[in-house]
Amino acid sequence: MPLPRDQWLDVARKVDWTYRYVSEQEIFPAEMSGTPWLAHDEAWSDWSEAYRTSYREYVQNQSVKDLSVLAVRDALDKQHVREHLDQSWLQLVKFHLGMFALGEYAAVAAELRMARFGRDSAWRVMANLGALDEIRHTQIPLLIGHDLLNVDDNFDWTHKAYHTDNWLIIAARHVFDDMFAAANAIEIAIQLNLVFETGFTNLQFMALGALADRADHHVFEKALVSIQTDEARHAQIGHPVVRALLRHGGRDYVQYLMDKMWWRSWRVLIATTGTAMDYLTPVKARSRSFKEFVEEWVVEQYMRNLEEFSLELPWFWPMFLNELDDAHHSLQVALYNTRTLLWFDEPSPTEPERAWLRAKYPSWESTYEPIWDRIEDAWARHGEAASLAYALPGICNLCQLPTAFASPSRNTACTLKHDGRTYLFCSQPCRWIFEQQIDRFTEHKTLVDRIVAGEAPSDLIGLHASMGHETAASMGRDLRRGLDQWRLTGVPLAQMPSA
Amino acid sequence: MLVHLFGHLQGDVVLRVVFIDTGRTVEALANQLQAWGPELYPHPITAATVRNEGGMVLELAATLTQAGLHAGDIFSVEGVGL
Repeated sequence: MPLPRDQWLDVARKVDWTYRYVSEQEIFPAEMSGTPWLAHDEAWSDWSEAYRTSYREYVQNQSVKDLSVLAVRDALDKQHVREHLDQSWLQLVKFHLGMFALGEYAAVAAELRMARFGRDSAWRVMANLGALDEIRHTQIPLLIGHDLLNVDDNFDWTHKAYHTDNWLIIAARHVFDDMFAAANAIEIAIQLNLVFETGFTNLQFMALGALADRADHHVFEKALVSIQTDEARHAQIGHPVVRALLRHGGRDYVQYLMDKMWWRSWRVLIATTGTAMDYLTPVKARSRSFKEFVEEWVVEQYMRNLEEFSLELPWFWPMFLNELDDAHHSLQVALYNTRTLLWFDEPSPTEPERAWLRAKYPSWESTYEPIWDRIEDAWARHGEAASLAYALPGICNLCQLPTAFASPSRNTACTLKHDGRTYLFCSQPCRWIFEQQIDRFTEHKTLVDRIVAGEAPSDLIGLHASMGHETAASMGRDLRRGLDQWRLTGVPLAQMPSA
Repeated sequence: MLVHLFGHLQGDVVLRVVFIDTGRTVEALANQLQAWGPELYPHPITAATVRNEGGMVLELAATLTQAGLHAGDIFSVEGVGL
């Protein structure tokens, strides 16, 4: 008779032993395992997390989940995509796939670093499964992007994006390098698993999945929700790591890592999710606004995490709350004005979209609508070229995103002078993070720094090519008008289900 | 000497990069910032006030060197009628 699960599970998870030929510190050096360095018997031996999954159970569960995604893919042929998906929604999907597919692949190495240098065997087992998760989270978007290639060639950015120096991708690489690629096991557990995965991926996968369902894109919806079930499991790695550090004098360090990565994650989500939810989702598919999703899915979850560990709110919390009404709207203007440097198309809001934005954001009408009116006026008077930016936006030396997070009446940018050089930041929290590890960040050059130094082309054609936009067809444009109307004829507008 | 500065034009939502010679005046700097943001300002505006990052008002007739503006600095322009 087989043993009950509870009697054998720890034999598979808890396999630590006493080292005879080398010391524990040699096997788990602080540079890779993290600090504070604590002996296993002292701090890590009771490490555990809620899921307690074995490899066998993992394979069984993942097989079922993969079959579920593939079944939906098989049931909905390419004709469905052509006939039912709104062109605007396809831009959102193209944006998402480019930003995340190979970012997930980079996370494989992070999970494997914990699988080697995590301080307890149960942590290492869980991280091994996390690495398999991240491979899956790369393969599924690549599959979806590949399927959509016959709708739009630019879906090749699903794979191509991270191999370019496109400015949004530089920003993504910068934060993911900091979050996990250039981090030790403790930093990865707190920054990637706890802050990003428990704090923010609910928004990126569950909330976006809900919108995908309403937009009639069921393969994408199924994939997002399936991925989030993995995230919810391996995100649990962070909790016991934090608990161990809090018991052994690491409170200030935990607070710092969480504050830092909260702000950095917020910056990524403004760009990827904020603009996508409120400007690229078809109006009839919208349920809640980005702000409402953040308040429900991000803020509440993060507050629970802080409460669990008796940690403080970040010092910049009021700034974060202030940005909920403005930041992604400002960035949308910047993205639209520089759309030829993107791999997806951007819309100028139509009247139904404007009405939705006015209803969801009471200050939008007075703050942002006049800007869109001026852009429309410029187009009407001088043609499409007048709707494009003549000058590059400044780029933040920390988050690498355009310094576009001010409302028109409130410029939040600031500088720091260090070693004879002036660094630019979009906000005080970005400058604070930079100052905490100044040697880590000073050598990195923004796109503007590279142009000033002669290391990137300063002419527009050369700049496009350097970012991976070698041909006109690979550049983003106005979603509904302007040049190259032929690109829009292949995909008719969708008939959306009623809200 | 040609330098790059970051300008915020009142009513805009981004800082814009401006390349300019340090021998030019603060007024010329303000005009160049406006000229490089035509999609937001199709109707020319008159520069009224230029400030440095600390909020100090800069003399329009001063050169950038005299005004203490160096490569990488932030400035803001407030125009009439905005």
